[in-house]
Amino acid sequence: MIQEEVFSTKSAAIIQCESTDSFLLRFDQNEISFKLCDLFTFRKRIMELDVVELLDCDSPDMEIIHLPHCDRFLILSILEVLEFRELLNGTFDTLALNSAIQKILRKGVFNF
Amino acid sequence: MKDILRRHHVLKDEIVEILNKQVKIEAHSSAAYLAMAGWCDVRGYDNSAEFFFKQSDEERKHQLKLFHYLADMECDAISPSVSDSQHDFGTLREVFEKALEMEIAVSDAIHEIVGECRKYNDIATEEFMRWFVQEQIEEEYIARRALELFDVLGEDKIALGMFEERILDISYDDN
Repeated sequence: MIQEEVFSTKSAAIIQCESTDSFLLRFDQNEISFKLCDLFTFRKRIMELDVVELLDCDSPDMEIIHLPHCDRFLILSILEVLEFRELLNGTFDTLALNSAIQKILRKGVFNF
Repeated sequence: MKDILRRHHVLKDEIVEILNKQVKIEAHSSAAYLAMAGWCDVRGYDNSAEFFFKQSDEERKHQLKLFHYLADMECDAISPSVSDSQHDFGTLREVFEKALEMEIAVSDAIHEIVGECRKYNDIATEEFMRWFVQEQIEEEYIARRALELFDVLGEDKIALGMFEERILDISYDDN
């Protein structure tokens, strides 16, 4: 199975699995598989979190995220939320960059 | 590295967002026309009611056309919440004034999408939107012609009866 790391942070990484067109999120000895559409949904959930509210001492400083595609829950601290934001932004920027490079390379497909 | 992004997420985020916004606009238009149809029906303007029921169906079809396109492109198609529609109108003319106002707003939104497609060089979506651009030319024409009938006929009871006789005959001929 061909796997390539797309982006990593201090304690998390996202790996692309080429044979299944899917992505693996690795963190804290966990491994969760995502289809691209599920990864988009996950990014949206993480980006929508109100970090300022999490910092408020009257509210709990943990956030529970449900992942409906695999029916799992993530319990994230503020630092983990910030790290996941960095991870997902980096991942999607890398995917966009790869897409731009592949577009240039595709010009060679009909190179006759 | 395999380009999974291009294979499974054909449209740019900005295009997905603006198309989903349009899905919501069409859903709102459909609901607004339904409210207009109800107002006309209760007051005995049967043909005007039929006109607006048809318009409501049309807008729903537009909504689904956009929704299917998003889903076909493997992008998130969001089923929208619809806010309250206006149910109270003073006169039949006011209902048609609102209809034209709404169609112009829809045209503006469609043109904005075309502008975004050009900005992001999304030729496929721009081509897909061409149908909507043409459709809006027709929708605006029909709404304008209906209002012109009031200008020609007036708004007394006899004129409103004549308006009712003519409203279902308005059609757009682009030749």
